[in-house]
Amino acid sequence: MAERINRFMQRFANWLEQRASLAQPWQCCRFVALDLETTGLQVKQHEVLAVAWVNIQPPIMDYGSAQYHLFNQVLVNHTVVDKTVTAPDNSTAAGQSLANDGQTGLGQSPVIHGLTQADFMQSSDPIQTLRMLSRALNDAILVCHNAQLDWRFLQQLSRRYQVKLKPLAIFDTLNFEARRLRQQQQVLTRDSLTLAACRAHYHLPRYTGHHALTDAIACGELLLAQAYAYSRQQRVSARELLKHAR
Amino acid sequence: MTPEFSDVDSFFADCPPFDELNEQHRRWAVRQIQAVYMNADNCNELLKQLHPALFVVRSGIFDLRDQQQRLLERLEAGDLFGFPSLLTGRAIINHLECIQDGIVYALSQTTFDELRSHSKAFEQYFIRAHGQRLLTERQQQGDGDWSDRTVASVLQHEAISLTSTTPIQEAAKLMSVEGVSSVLVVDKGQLVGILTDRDIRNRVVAAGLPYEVAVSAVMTQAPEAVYARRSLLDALTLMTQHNVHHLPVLADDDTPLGMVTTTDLMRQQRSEPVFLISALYKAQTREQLVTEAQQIPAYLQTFAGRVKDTSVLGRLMASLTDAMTRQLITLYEREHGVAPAAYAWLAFGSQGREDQTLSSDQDNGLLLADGLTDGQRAWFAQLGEYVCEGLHACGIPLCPGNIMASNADCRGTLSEWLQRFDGWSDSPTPKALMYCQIFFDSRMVVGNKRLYAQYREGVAKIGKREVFLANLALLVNRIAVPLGLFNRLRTQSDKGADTIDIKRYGIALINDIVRLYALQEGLLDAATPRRLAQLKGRSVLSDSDNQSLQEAWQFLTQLRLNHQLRVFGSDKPQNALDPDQLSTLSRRQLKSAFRIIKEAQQAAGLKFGRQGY
Repeated sequence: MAERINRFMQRFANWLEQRASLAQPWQCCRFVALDLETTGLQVKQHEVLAVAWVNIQPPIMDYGSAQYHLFNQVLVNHTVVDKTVTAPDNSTAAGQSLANDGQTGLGQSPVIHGLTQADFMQSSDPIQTLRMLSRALNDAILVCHNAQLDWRFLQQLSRRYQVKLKPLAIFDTLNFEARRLRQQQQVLTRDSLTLAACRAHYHLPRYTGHHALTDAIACGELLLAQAYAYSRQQRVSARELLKHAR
Repeated sequence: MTPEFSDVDSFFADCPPFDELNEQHRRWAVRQIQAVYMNADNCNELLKQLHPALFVVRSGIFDLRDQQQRLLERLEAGDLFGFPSLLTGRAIINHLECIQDGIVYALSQTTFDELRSHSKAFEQYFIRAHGQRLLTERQQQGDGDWSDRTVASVLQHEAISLTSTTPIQEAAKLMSVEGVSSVLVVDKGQLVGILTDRDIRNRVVAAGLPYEVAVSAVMTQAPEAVYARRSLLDALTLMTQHNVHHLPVLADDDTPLGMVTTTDLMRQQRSEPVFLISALYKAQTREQLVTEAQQIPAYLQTFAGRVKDTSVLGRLMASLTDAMTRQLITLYEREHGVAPAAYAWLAFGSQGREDQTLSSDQDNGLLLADGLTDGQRAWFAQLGEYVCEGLHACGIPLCPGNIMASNADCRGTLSEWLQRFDGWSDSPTPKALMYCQIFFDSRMVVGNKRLYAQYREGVAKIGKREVFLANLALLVNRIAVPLGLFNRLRTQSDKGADTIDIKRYGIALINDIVRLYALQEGLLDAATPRRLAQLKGRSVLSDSDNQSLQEAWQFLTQLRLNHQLRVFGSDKPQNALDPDQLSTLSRRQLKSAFRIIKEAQQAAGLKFGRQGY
């Protein structure tokens, strides 16, 4: 009984702490921008191939903190799909445009999303990777473009390997942009919310690669651009910012 | 697994001086980056917080200002700042003004020191940049083309020489023992002439002279010679200009060292220009000449990719035009008899300055001896017509301003020409001044040397007049260098593209500025690099300004050439380029070049412009 009360008190204390953290100006929070590479868009059928993340202490993104890990359990005969809303892009390399046309059966192709068999040979232990991610997400706000999907994949991994992932909150750069554009009465199309399109709204550089780490960095930069544009000289709490990214 | 920063890696691979680092060091550097999102609210705070650091702008626009709020530089993607503190250890005194938010990469002092300890080139870049010497960056690259090699490098053997009193038979014996087709004639260590197989055949045997006659009677006196340290292209140019196949080589103290021949040059790998030029000379008819000339553009395309110093191409193109001109004159003389009076065929403008390009049009004229009859004038009028038409057929466009020997205004006797220059300098209408800028850059292609020397001296005297120089300086200052208020490149809209005309606002302006100094000093050369070389050490122009102008000129001609090769055969503008299409380095250099020109323009305005009206 005492233990249950204890546990409850612990949870309550955590909740208070989280509340206090989110009441701070958003610049005082730590963020983790993350991107996954998966074999498809269905959490139940598809698998995570790789995860990349980078730490952000606004406005600084420390490249030394960047992590990139491959999961070796995955069978190679899946097609890779970029889960972020990606319009078919003719300029991408053949392997990637294959991924975008939604077909399965990349089959024997030795290259997935630029990943080769040799890459998988060097892949990390998934439990180690998830523990590292867990530590990184502790007291930090997770940032993804189209976060719902990434988060569901992460939860799947978390259950499978019994590693808890408890970010302070989740910020979705896609939702934030969608809301902003709707407020400006703009007509939203599928293309106007891709990571590249959102970045273009803030004059951020065009990235050509579709490596998970490139996308994680791109997403982190987008967060900073969005948050600074929103807060302009005003004191804005993390909570307020998150409200706009729902 | 080590994270891959593929996009950042490729950004740095194209961002000088990081391109000097090897891949391993560059990748290591990328992992040390702190990327920051800079905006108006946080930029100066960040500068202090991260100092000392090297900052690289990835996106956004920032103005670097000094304590007095003066704009030092507008920083855009690919620009660097913060390095003076890294080099000198001094505190940050400048500050930023954010024009557009963006991503800036910061590299710590430790990272910077590590990188410069690994790469001398990387370190040198910052030391030079610190001294504003960005334009020299590209010069150490590439391996030498044959044309850059020195004459000394092809000298086969020691000088074979004899004195001018040697009997001809003895000279012939020496030549056959040594197996050479020519010998140097040297008296008291000084070169006085050369003797060739051909001289012996034509001037001795054919003329029936006794073999005991001294060499001095039949040798070619005071021959053209080349210094051993000059390039092979210099040698080639001299040979074609004077239509000789043997060129004595001298040490810097004028001691004869040996002889180079066209065969020596042809023996050099890839010395196609020699073949091309000799093919032009071998043409027996106008049709053959035109056929040979048609190969020039294609040839220059491949040649251009191999040369380091692009001024070589301007000279080569001028040499080729010279060769065509001479051959056309020869062909004309074959039909209409030898010229009835002394004359000189003059090249003006770019051919005169030897910075001709594939798109340069003709600028030429005829200088004639005084006291001509109408019949003699008619002979020259037809010559002008024939040669200009011929050059046109060979691919050198007609001059839209009609500055061609086919125009009666561009054919004149010595006194007529001098009178005209006199008139232009006395009543400097804009048109007159424009003519002056063309006509003052002249060079004789073929003709009577004495006549040309008189002309050149007369012209030089007129060019020294203060009021005239002042008016030219005013004209030069009327052209606005395309640098905007914030040191940004100012473009002009043309056919839907924003471009800069680097000829009009760059190369031509430098030519104009350098001409002012050359005229004041009475220099007789027309080529801008040679004018600058001769101005070295003179008080009119400081040596550092001289060097800057020369580097800017080099850079711009190189840039123009690369552009012209890219657009060759299309109807795209030959001299206008879009700065957005340039690499970061070239854009940075272009800004530096324009800054140099702007300063030189103002300096020339102050120096010469006071007496103008």
